[in-house]
Amino acid sequence: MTVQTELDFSLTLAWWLAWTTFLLLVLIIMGLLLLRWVRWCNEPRMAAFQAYWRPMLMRWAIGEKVCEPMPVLKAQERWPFMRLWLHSQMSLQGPGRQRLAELGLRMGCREMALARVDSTHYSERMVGVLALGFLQDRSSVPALMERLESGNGQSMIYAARALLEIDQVAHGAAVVHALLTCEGLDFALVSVLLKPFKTRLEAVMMPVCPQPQATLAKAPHAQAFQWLRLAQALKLLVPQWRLTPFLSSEQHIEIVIAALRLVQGEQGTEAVACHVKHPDWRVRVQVARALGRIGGQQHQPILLGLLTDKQWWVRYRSAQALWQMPGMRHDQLLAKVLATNDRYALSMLHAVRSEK
Amino acid sequence: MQTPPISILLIEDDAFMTSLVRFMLERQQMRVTCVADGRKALHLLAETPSFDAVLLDWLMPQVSGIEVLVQLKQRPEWAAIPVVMLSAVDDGQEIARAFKAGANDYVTKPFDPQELLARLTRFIPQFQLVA
Repeated sequence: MTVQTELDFSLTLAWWLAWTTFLLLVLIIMGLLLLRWVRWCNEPRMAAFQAYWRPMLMRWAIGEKVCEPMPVLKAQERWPFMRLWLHSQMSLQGPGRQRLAELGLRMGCREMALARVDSTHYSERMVGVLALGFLQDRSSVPALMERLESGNGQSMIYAARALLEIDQVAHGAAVVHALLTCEGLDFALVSVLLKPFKTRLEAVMMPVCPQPQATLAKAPHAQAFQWLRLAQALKLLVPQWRLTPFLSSEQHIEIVIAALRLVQGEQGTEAVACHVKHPDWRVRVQVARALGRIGGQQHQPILLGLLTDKQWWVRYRSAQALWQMPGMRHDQLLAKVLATNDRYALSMLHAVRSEK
Repeated sequence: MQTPPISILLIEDDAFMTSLVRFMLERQQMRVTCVADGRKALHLLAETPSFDAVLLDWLMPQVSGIEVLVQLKQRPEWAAIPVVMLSAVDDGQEIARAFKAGANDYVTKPFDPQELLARLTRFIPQFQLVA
């Protein structure tokens, strides 16, 4: 009888795989430890950098005299300096910005920004683009325009901000056109980055407000929807006469919802209230929110009706609207809700009360 | 007799903004105490209620600025301290809410340092004497 001493191939493979996995794991752990160590070594240097440059930037921004000539930045300090400089720019308003722009030019931020606008790192690219705007570098306008027109739903917003920083009057129309035609626009980012220019953008946007009839003919409703959402992101005050056609029940449901979010002032309550029995609960939610924002005591019965809605979100928003209504006596409200004999409405009101 | 320095409580969670405002106020010979969240600010006020003014951010962890403001104005020993809100919240309704809750003034971020200083010192009579 002979004993088979040769190892099975699958066992050999498993043995090698186990060792390879183990070695890779050790390498990853060592890499992480190395990164941590590098960061730990950099911390005191970065703290010293911040402790020196933060007050320097602030003194420059408020117009105090600082030491001349300005210190030269080391290679590893350039990127942190640009981020700090940009942070200062975005925190301030007034003449301090102009002074910081001068400082940025003297410290070579323009060259640093140009070197980073084509970086493979997204954050470096965006900081580079914004820096060109805050430096008011007119020579980079063609490149920024190109980014505005060909960028994605986020990067084009940075280019828009940079262009508006350079010259909001000259570039307002191009920015609005690009925002209205961009697919997948990040409206939250629009709100954060472009709101400081809302007066200029409003002046450009109002004359190009789409006509609802034309929008219907050109289905889908993309153009009007984009306009309304952009107006909401920029927190524009859209006159009621412009919104009323979008609130017509013939409009697409997304349009109605977007328009309801924009309604401001008492004159809009009638157009809002007519959607109270809309079959789609998302519209009823917006009705409750809008009445909470602009409605008065006379809209209490409508909101009490919505408080007994079968959809949870409608009840929740109605309870919030009622609870926050100016001049509302909470004991009277509680009595009215008790009179509806709807325990869901009552528990929703209690939930909203406990939130406050 | 030397007058004590003007004492400001700065309630702000952003480190950069804190250093910016602190730098600006200390340049005016003010003593600035910085706190990064609303809860700590209320604790600090309970221990040392002798601030000449409070600069208050809105969006903060733990307890928000508006809640701090409401509590400040509800307590008689704190109600007289002027409160200037310094916030990125720029919605008209929210600003109105802050004024209703008792804010003395409201400055939106990004801010002009000169404007902030002018708005804050309106409520500090000693500053007019020092200046």
